[in-house]
Order: sequence, then C-alpha cells, then structure tokens
Amino acid sequence: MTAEAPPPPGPWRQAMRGLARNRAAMAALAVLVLITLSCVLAPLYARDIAGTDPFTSNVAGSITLDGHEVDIMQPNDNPLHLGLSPIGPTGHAAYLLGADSQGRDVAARMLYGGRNSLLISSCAAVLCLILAAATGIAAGFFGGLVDAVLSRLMDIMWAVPVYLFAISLSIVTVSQGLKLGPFVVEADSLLIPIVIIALVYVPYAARPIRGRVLALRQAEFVTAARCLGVPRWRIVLFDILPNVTTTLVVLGPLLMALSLLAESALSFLSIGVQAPAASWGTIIQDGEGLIYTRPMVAIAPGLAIVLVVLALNILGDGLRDALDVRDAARRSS
Amino acid sequence: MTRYDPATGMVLERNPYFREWAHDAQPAGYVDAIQVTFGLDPEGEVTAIENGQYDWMYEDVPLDRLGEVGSRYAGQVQIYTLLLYYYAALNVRIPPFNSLKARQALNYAINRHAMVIYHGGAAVATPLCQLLPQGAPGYEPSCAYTKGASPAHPLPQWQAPDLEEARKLVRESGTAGQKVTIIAPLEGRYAAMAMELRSTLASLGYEASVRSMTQTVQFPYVQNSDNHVQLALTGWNADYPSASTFLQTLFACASFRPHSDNSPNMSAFCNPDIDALMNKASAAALTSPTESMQRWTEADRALMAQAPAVPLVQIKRVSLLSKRTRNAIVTLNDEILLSQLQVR
Repeated sequence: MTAEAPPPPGPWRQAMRGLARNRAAMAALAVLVLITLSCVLAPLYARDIAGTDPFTSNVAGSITLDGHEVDIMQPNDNPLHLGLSPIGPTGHAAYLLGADSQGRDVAARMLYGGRNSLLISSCAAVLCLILAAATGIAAGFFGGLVDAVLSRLMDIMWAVPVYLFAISLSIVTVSQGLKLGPFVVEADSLLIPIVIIALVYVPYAARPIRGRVLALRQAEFVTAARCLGVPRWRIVLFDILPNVTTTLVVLGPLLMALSLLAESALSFLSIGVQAPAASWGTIIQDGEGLIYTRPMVAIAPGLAIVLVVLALNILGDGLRDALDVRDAARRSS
Repeated sequence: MTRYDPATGMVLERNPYFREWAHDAQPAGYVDAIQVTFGLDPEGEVTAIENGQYDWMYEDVPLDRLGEVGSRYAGQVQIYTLLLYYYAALNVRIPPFNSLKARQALNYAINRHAMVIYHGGAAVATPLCQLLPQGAPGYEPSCAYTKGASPAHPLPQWQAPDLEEARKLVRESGTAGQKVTIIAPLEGRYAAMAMELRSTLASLGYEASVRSMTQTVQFPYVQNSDNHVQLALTGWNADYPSASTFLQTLFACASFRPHSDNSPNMSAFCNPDIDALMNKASAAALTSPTESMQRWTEADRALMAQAPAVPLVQIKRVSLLSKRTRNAIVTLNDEILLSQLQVR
C-alpha cells in the first residue's frame, strides 16, 4: 500500500506562502500592523500614559516635568517679549512630541489622527473596490450599451484631475452636509471624505477590472457555462468575480495608499476631517504655522504618511508578485 | 502713481507740483519714489526685510516669527496699538443667545488670557472685556465679566474666567444641551480662537461645533440673517478714530439689515434706549466733547450689560522695518504714512 500524496496547496495558500517568503512585504506588513495597533490604542495612550486631552485647547495650562512646573506655551527669549512658542518635544510621556499652537499634545493627536486617516483610507479603498468591481464587471461582462455608458462615465471622471474633483465635492458637502432623501450626513461626518475619496478613484480601479473581465468573458469555462444555460448573474458571481478577486486584492493596498494621500490633502485644506477631530492632514496644517519654531508638529505626521504609503506600496507589490500565476511559474522554472 | 499692475505691484513717485501748504494736514514727503510689490506671503515678507530686499511689510509679523524678530531684529521692530479687536457676535434673536443669561455666561466663561496667547502674548495683545477698545474716544477700562465682577460692579481689568458663575447662568437660562455652531474664518488665529470658544461652550454644557470658511466668504455670510448664524467669530477695525465706528456701526438698530450681506450688526441687536444714548453721544461730539465721551462710556457699559457680543482681545501691530528705514508713522487706524518714511 502506498501513501497517498498530499493534495497540492490551493492558489491562495500558495500566494500566501509566496508573500511570506517576501521579506520586504512582510516588513511592510509588520510596520502597518504596528502603526495601526498604536493608533487603535490612542485613547489608552492619551488617558493613561500621557495624561492629556488632545481635543481641548490648553494654551493657558502647564505640566510638571522633572518636578518643575512648565507652561505649555513658553515665552520667547527676546528683549521685546514678543511671541510664545508651544512646548517642544519633552522626552516624557506627556507631550512627547511637544504641543501644537493650541497647547494640545501632538503625540496623542498623532495617534488619534492616525485612527481617522487609516479608517478613512481603508474604508474608502474598500468602498472604491466594491464600486469599481461592480462597474468594471458590468461594463466588461454585459458589453454593448452598458459598457459604452459606463466607460464614457469613467472617461469623464478620469478627465477631471483627481484632487480637483475631490476638492470640488468636499467644498460642497463639508459646508452643507449631505442629504439623500431620508439620509442626512452631518458636515463633520467621516462618511463624507470616505465617499468622496472612494468615488474619485473608481475609474482608476474599474478600468483594469473591466479589461480583466473582457478577457474572462471569452474564456472557455464562461462559454461552457453559457452553453449550459447558467443564468448570467450566476456566471458573474461564481465564474467572473472569483477570477477578478486577485486584481482587487492587488489594487487594495495601492488604493489605500492613494486614499491616504487624498485624505491628508483634503484635511490639510480643511475640507476633510473637521475640527476638533484630527487626521494626519489636519496636524500638518496645524504645524504649518509653527514650521520655524516647532517643525516637529508638521514633520511627525508627514513622516507617518510617508511610512504608511511606502509600506502599502511595498505590500501591494508583494501581493502582486505572490498572486501573479505567470510570475510564480517563472520563479519556479 | 506711475505704474500699477494688480498682479505684481505699483510705483508711486514724488509729485513735482506739490507744495506744502500746511504741515499738519499734508506734510511734504521724504522719499522720491515708493515701489510696492504684491504677492509675497507674510513669511516671505519677513525674510525679504531681514535680507534687506524690502523696507516695510503690510502684514503683521507671523506668530511663528515673533521670537526670531524680537531677538535678532529688535531694533527694527515697531509695535503700536490699533483700534482693532476680535470678538464673538452672539445672535440675540435665535437660541441659545436670545437669552441674556446665556450671553452673559459665555462672557464670564471665556478665557481671555488664552486669547492673548493665541495672538503672541501680552506684548502683542490685551484681554478685552468691553466694546470700546483702548484708544477710542470714551474708552474707560471696565470689565463686567470676570471673576469677582458683575455688570453692576465692573473691575478695571479682566482677571480670570468665572466658570462657576457662568454655569449657574446657563442653568438659569435653561439653554444647556443646545447646539451652537461657531462660524469662523479658516485663517490661523481665528481657527485657534474658534476652538477655544468651542471648548468653552462645551464646558458650559452646550453641544458646540465649528464651521470654518475663508474669511472673504465668512464675513458676508455671518452678516446675513438668512444664514441664522448663532455665533460669529470676527474682528473689527476702526474706519476712523471714533466710538461710533464701534458702537453704532456694530450694535445700533439701523445697522441691522435683515436678509443682507452688508449688515455689520451681526448680533442683530436692537435696543431703542441704548440707540438713543448713542445718538446723544454722537450729537454731543460737536458741542461738548467731554459730555460726548461720557455718554459713549455709558453706552459701552449699557451694551455690555446686554452682552450682545463677547469681546475677546485687542491687538497691537508688530511691524518689521529694514535697517535703513526710519520715521515710520502709523495712525490708530493702521495707516502708515508712506511719504514720511525715511531711508538711508
């Protein structure tokens, strides 16, 4: 009796193994997990470690450092007594990265801001992928008039510069909020930047999906399903969708990186996350007025954005390599 | 003016036909030509003057550069008091500030020391508790809303916020828990002041939020009664050195024009008795300046007793001149006499 050979691992498992072998992608994943975890624990940090309220102005307040009471806003050393500067990085738990112009703890705001930035960018990326998948699959699979209408719509959206489009939508919604029948979205809701960012990037993701579906539509297994009389919705759901999933997975991190940049830009322009809530973009805006005396207020969130975008791009590349069957075959040969 | 381009600047040259007929009215100029360049931001203006490329800047020195300017260029700095203050206009016709107690509560609660810090400290700004600023005719130091004071027994200076009294007044007004939206300009100092107001309102039990818009949009927006603005954060600069430019322009019945973008009485305040007092003060200016000033002082106190606004801070202009510039004369209305500048 001979032992039966174990079945070969499925394509997803193979892809995950490939990803696990990619050191750069795993390092990027670790960075992302670390940053996300830190941001999730923001309330714990603010309350129990720093002991500060990052949402309340505290310019008239003081903290105790090494037994000495220190003002949050410190007078500048000049004969005219002109100006006050927020406390710089203290090296202590409280005000680790210093204070902003409203006397708030920058480190705590960074973590809270990261929660919003990551939440908005991930939700926008997911929503964008859902919309793009629906659009791309409908256009590619049904063809004809549906394809013509959806493709031209995507062309029109694509023709408007992404940031200009997002800024235009944001200005309208941030000033008035959003009313869709019985649904009312307040002007300061995070839903607004999520929906806007998702919308503006739909053409970016829908195009490659449509191309993939156009190729799949001609595939033998789809033709066979049609010949067997399988309803079109079943073909879309069980034959087409699983085959575009890899494209969606690869696009995910890249879209999240783009969404993060868009969110930061909108918030920097005061048309994204609304005060007193924070995002990395709003903190950079807070730091703009302190760039000469307290550059850390702008640099710290800027670095966080660079780090996350870089990590997402490396992870996206890793996912693409791991999920690319041809590439895998090349590597194994 | 020998050259003007709205995008780049203009050149003013000495008028060869000008003869001085009265020095006080129009003194002869010292400079032969003045070149004005448009388009630099305040940071760029400071750097350009530090480098000796320009002699004077129109804007204030940015807060972030005050320390540097005060330490390295102290000899080139001019600080002068302006008839300019920042205040929060409270709409007396819609809740919650249609309640006098709610308006007084916010006046008691606001931390004017924080407002001074937002403008660069005590050398640059002064807490303001009244609607006539220091330097205006009829100004008598008076603070009705500070710890240990009341409209009936004001103190000469602001001391500290009185949160206890403020919370008591909010309880009595029955307005706690109501939504208040602060409409503020987007620009730096306003944003910080708006957040301070939001924190204060929240500490009084209101559900406060801030809506920011660019100043050019915000100013007409908050004036129009159709927008139902509850609290507008704004500033007012005297058009001419008189009390009426503050009290009558901002709080007289005639200054409230419903449905108009040009309604400087942003509080929609109208009190016939105070109007009559202001009219008397205005009329007395021609016959008895002393009596006029007394009446303006009374009008200022009567207005503050009704608290249609929360005066926050009066600021000083910090101007940077080049090393070679002398004799910069600036009026209370923040107008520099360019012709009187001397350059070596």
